[in-house]
Amino acid sequence: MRIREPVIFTVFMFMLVIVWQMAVEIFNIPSFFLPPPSAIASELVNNLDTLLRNTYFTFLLIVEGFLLAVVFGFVLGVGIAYSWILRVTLYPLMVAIRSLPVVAIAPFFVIWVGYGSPSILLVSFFLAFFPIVIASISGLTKIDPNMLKLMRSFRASEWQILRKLRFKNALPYLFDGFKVSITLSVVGVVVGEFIASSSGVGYLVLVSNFSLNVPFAFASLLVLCILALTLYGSIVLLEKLLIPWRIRE
Amino acid sequence: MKTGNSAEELIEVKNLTKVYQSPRGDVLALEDVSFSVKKGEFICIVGRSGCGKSTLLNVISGLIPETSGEIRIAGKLLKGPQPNIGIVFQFPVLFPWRTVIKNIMLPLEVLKLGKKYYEKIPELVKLVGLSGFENKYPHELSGGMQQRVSICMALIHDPLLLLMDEPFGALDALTRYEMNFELLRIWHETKKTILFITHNVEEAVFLADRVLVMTPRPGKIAKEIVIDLPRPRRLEHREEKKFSEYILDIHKLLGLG
Repeated sequence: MRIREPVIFTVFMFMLVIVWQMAVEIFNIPSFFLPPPSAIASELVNNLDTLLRNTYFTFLLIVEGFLLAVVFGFVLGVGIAYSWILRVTLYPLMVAIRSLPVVAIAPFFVIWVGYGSPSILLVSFFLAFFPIVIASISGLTKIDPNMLKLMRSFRASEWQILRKLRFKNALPYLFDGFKVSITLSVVGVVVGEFIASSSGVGYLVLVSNFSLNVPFAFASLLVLCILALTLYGSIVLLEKLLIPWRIRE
Repeated sequence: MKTGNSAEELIEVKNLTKVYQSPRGDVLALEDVSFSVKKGEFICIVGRSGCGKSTLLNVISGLIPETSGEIRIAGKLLKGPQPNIGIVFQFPVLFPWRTVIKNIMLPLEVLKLGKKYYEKIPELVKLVGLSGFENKYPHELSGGMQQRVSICMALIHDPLLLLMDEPFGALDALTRYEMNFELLRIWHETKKTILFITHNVEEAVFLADRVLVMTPRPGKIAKEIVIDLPRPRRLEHREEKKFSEYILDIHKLLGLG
């Protein structure tokens, strides 16, 4: 079963590429409108060096933005889970800020922290932070009351309850948050590169669009897609390793 | 473990009253409940749903405070949860991220108990019939097996008293019979004192030395019935005339027939 699904998907993608290539040739579609897979592939091969260099730049920012979001999001989550005052002050403020479209405030990030990596990182963090906070709060507080009762019957301290119960309980919630967060971090970095960068995959897509080099833009998007899927896949893999008890539905 | 002056009486409950405060007024959950349990006894408390029997158990476990009256465990006035007591809840409370053996270790970790308790684990695992399941996760076990883990967790820190709150209520009838026998066997071997709550009259009569019959609103003990059946209890005891007489008596006290 597990072997079959990826095989079917590969065959499907292979067929899709063939149909795409044939359609472009048969209907004589211009390359700037929809480039054929062959053109995308040749751009990919010819510019592999440029693509890899910029992918690495983007990759680092995605991971950094994500990790910042994980650390600060979790700490704030613990704070909000335990503190009533944070729950009625910081939490609604965060919800309000988060409701702003990121492209509307990203220009201010450039003003505040400067052009390039810092503002890209901030955009990525801005998007990736929120799901981690929510996941942390849920995971730390949505606890079977009987488990708390059991811990209290052994006179467990709040520290013991946090360590042995709340953290573990939070893990599956956190991984759900990580999955959303890593995807948003990718979006954040690309948006950041659109606005404030002269390198990265997002920047490549932008400039090749301006110069109507659509095959190269598609090659960049393909690389971005592979990067995003790899990151997402790593989290799924980590989840399987760290949460062997999670019952698959 | 320390024992009080009246060494024989492990639990002494005197004039226990519990009032729940709610926005619609006070609810008298327990009124003037008094009884005592000797060391090594198996006592069942039987009553309908809502008669206050779970409240009684929660108060004795120290998890919720009494309104008035007093509880002494081994001569000591009860104030909050204490490690002299092991509790088995209605549904198995197991941490899904811990294997069976790690769940069993949880009370020892929380209570910060030493090596000699850990050394006893294999013996206890065998006693409750969990051998071979040590490294399974809870979700891989049936309901009956999960409840065995809970019993093991309640015994691992070697408490004097085992409190059980309808522990087999969620099991199918056959598994419940099986667990009744298992519990009696464990009781014989460990010589613990057991306070067992159930709404199943047959189960109460089959297990207990004495049955305390509770009636609701307000919750109080209507009568104490001494079960004069030989030990060890066997399936045939259920067919005896005395057995069905006890059941009839209790059913009458509970307002049936």
